[in-house]
Amino acid sequence: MPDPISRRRFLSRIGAGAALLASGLPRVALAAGLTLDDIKKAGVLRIGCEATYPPLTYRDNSGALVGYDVDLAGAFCKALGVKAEFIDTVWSGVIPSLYTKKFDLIMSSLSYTAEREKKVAFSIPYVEASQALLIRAADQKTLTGIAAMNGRGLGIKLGSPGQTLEPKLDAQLKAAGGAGFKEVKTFDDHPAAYMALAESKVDGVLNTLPTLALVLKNAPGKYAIVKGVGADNWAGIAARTEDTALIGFIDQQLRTFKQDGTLHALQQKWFGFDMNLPDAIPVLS
Amino acid sequence: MSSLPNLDAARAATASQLPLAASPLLEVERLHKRFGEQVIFKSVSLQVAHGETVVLIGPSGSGKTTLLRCINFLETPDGGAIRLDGQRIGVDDNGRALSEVQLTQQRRRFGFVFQRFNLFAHLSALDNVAAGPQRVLGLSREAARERARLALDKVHMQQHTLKRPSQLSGGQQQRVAIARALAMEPELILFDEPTSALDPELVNEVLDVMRDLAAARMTMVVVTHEMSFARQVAHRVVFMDSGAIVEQGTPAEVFGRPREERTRRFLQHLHT
Amino acid sequence: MDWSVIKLAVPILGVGLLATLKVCFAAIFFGMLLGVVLGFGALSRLRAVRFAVLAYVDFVRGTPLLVQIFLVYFALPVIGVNFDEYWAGVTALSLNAAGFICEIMRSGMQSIDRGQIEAAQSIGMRHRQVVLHVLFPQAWRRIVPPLTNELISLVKGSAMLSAISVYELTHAGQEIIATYFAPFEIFLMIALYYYALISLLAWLSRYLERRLPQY
Repeated sequence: MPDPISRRRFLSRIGAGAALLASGLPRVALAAGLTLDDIKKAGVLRIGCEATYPPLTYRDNSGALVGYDVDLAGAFCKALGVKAEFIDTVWSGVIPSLYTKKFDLIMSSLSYTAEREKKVAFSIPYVEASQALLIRAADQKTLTGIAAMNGRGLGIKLGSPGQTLEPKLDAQLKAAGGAGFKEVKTFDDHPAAYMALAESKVDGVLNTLPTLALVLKNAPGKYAIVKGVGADNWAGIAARTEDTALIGFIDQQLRTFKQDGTLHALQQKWFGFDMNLPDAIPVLS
Repeated sequence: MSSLPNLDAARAATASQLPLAASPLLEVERLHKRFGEQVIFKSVSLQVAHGETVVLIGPSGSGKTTLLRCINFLETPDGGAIRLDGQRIGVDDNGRALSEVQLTQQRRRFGFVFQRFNLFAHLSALDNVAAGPQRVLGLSREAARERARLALDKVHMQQHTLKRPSQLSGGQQQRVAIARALAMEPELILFDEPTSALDPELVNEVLDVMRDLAAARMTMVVVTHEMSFARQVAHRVVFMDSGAIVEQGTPAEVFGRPREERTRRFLQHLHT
Repeated sequence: MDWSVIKLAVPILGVGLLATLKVCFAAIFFGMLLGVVLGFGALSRLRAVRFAVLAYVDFVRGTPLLVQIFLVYFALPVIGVNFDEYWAGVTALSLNAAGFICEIMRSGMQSIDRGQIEAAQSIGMRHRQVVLHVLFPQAWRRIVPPLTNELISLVKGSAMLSAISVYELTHAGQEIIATYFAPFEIFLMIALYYYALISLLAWLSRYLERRLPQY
């Protein structure tokens, strides 16, 4: 039985506990939005990501987070003089999490959609994100275009642009006289969808082209890609609508990086090709 | 046609008129029993004749109850033999334990009445008594229930056949338990302190039934503290202490002229 | 409170709830069937049977339900057993529930007073007769409360089936949130739907308990 602690020590322990707790509490941002000074003072820029999304954000063999986004974020955080802190998050809730201030930016290829553009403040495009279809290598001869997916099963990720695109594709198939997709299965993340594809539970998985290119590279001979699935699209970096200073800074940095070759180097490193990034946010309906 | 003991006619017979059969019905031969390190009894022998009522008395811890439970193999003895009507119980001729089927078949030949009655809580009195005939002897439900009614009649419980054990008094429950044993038509009935858990005013109704059974020549081995019952009904009284039979004889001999000091001391305690 | 999203969500979540009910009914049925069989197995005279049952229960209790769901859906196909997500979900939930129900039955029957067993033995009943005619009928009433708890756990566990793309209540809600960005309202509604379902189960259980005779 431990000695009864003195009242003074007890109170000091409570005080220490409270201070510890307070240090973990989220900072309350000013109503007018974050200023760059706020970020500099905090010393860190918190970025929401999905750590199972190669080659933008994913874990290497040592468990460290690496990818195109990690390098890019490192670059503009250096310009700001702060550290980048990536926060792995459930993708289907990433925008609500932005607004509950779990982080201040979203990366991991948040594609432009009409709904998202209403909800967040996007930067100019930083990566290509056109949708493509991943299929089993054995099906390459038969599944040559999206039309061939008529009567087949489709796998998509919850909350992804693929999910927004799916009804349009289905309508397309039906308009061409077919029955549409046989079934659509939604998964919490892409790896689960790829597993389902490999086990023939679905016949195709929608995702952005650069990401699928990496899947092909990592699992040679297992899969194939069908292009021409949707319109050209890109992804932007997102912030809360009130954080105009922050997004302004990001846009400025992206333009600088386009000019000075930083983006070119990163794209070559992570994708193996240069991307065509427009200078303005695409307007979607 | 029922082979249940005809208690009404037998009430007139006196206990002393006991026709002795040539060989004993039950033979307990040099029985050993221990629980782990503790020896309960070592080399106990006992014989019970057909139609005899043997009462086992002695202080608690003497091993009486364990001995009783060894007879129908509710406990497994560690040495020695039990024979019922010449047949070895619990083990085959080579000394190996019997299969479950064989052992349970042998158990049917014994009736056992527990101190705590142990009636099946979810069944009516009637079904309690019919369970054995139906499930074990394979009688049809109706035939089993008929037999049960007759057995309950013998213990004067015919008014309560549909009651659950929880609706019966202790004495009534114990009488149903006796009927349950009787319905299996056992060759002998073992009683383990049948009235110890009863309120004093309920003891007699059970003892009366047991008296009737004894008078009808049912072979009985009874462990009890009810000395008046032993005096009046037993053919033989066996005094056990610390795992050994100290002395045995007629009630008159054991209660009136005990030979051993330990017996005397035990009997003295009862009177104080 | 975004009332327009709530209005929109009510029927969609209703469909999700129906799907949850479908999965849970099937899982409860198979789970109880297997659980009762295993419960008797846990009381078998044969040591090998008891050991096998105990090992099964140990595994089910020692691994998270989500992992068991993934095992059934993603790992079994590797050895040739390929369920679609509905049956994978039902199988995983059933196998999980059966383990716990087995334990509930075993401990229920073993908690019956030993005197009941001895009385049955003394009239010559075999072990399986003792279990079937004496222990099992008396264990029923004791089993109902923990059994209900297990069934409630099963219903709550069905929420995890969203991870293998089963379109049940939670998954339906997640899809609405992904499109309309209203997590507070939707998750609150989902919680209410589950609460209503489980309250029904709990009421049913109390009703059964009252009706079953007390031994």
